[in-house]
Amino acid sequence: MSSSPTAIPEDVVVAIFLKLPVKSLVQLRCVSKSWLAIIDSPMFIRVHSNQSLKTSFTSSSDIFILSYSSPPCIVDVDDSDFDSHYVTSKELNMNGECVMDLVGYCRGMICLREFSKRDKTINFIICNPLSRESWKVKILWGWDFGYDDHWVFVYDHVNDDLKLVTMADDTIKTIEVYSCFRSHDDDSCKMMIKKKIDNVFPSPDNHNRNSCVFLDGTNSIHWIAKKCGEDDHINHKYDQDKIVAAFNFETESFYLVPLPEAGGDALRITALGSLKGCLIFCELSSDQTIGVWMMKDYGIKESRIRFASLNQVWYMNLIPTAYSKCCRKLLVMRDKKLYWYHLDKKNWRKIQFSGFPNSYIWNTSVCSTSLVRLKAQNNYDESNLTALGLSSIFLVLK
Amino acid sequence: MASKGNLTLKSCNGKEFIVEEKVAVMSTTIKNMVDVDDSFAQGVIPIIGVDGKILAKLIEYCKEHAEADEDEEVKSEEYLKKFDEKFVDELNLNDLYDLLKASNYLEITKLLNLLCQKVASMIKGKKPEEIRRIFNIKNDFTPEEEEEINRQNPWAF
Repeated sequence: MSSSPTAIPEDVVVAIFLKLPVKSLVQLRCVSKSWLAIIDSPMFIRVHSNQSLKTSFTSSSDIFILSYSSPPCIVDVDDSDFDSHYVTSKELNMNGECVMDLVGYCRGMICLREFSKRDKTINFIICNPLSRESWKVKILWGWDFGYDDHWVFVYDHVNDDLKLVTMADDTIKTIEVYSCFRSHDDDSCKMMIKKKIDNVFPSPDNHNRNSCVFLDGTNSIHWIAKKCGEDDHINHKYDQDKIVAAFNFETESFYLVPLPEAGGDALRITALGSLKGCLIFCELSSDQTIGVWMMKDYGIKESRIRFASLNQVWYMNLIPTAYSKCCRKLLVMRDKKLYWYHLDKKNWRKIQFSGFPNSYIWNTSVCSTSLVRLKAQNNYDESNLTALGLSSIFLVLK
Repeated sequence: MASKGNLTLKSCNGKEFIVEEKVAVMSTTIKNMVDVDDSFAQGVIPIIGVDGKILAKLIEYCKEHAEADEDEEVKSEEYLKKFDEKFVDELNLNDLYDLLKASNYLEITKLLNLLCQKVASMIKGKKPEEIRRIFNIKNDFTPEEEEEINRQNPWAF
């Protein structure tokens, strides 16, 4: 009778590892060579991140916080002290010369956009805060991309890669989808245009441009648009008759997310977001409260439930970032500060961080840890529209 | 083949167990054998590589769960949860390994899941050297290699 787990078939070891959180798995990497090989294999990482995506909706979540004057940090929402740890990485050294912006979070990877005032470049930084691995793509400011462009960071589960998508607006009705990968040769990050889609319809409403939401598992990005045929430019009821449009970058098709028919109280969607893996909508009610609605089953309008009502709101475009599992409260960013909104007490409480300077917050995102790395690719596919080794080409131009 | 008939399972050290078919077919491997070849249903099914002690344990588990699957009224979810907890708590490490291998080979998904969860909870929160000691794993890294891996994960330590 053998008592060595090496005698246990590898698929059983994998089944055991799949039940462990990322923090345990990183420790297990140095147990033995065979364990390291399993944990680092792209297939295991993929299956594990799929699985933890499902369980992260039921366990507590980490929040990534980007603020004006402190380095980016991560906090556990259910940690009573709200103790923060800073995310350190060679690419994330904030100095006065750069302005950072959070593009989004996907599969344990954070994407940041950095505007360098000195050399007038925009850099995308993709980093895994757990492994502290990060990759940077440098692009020239004012070339193809401007300061105002709105980007969404997405995960394509069909091709198993991370993508950046530029969103259209009222004037530029174009969506561009870029694949992000690291070069096999020098480990640098590359972006490659995958697809350019013109005449985005319905185009996002400029008032809600920041409410562009990617929902993992749907392969789609979602935005708020005006109801079709409504082109009166001075429309005082601009926040009424909104629809939620979506673009599936796998099938490259547009569709509308079905919403219940507007009753007496017309739908006035003010913001879109995601919570517990579901699409959420915020609606301004006539009594000046904001209703947070959750679409439990994606695409099924009847599954929409009123999750919460936020009162005493002064800022219309707010959207909850996270939901605390231990008490019924929502994490909401308001006036550049983070607040807990208690669903039962219906009150707001400002959050004080320990070891975190009292600075304004720029952006926040839910961020569960994963072992995901940027996918390595040998060479780009010539059949694609344009292949841009952005870091090299644009630096030469400069 | 009588659907309510009994099957005879024989362990690798020659012990025979007569079990109800509904209990035995909790194992997908046995179910496939019986479905494909009627002679198994009448004769003796050899369970290769599983000794009498482990086979008895497997049957104990399958009995409880087969009865629960048949009639939810008899055994509540809570009862089964308690049974499962007690079942894994009483196992020593050797039995745990042997059951893991046996339930994997016999494809008893529910049990395999339960045992994997048990091992995962044993691993969780422990240091690499403790894990190596408990599970009797040889450290096949050179000190330099180990240092390099630790350097890659500053969060984990």
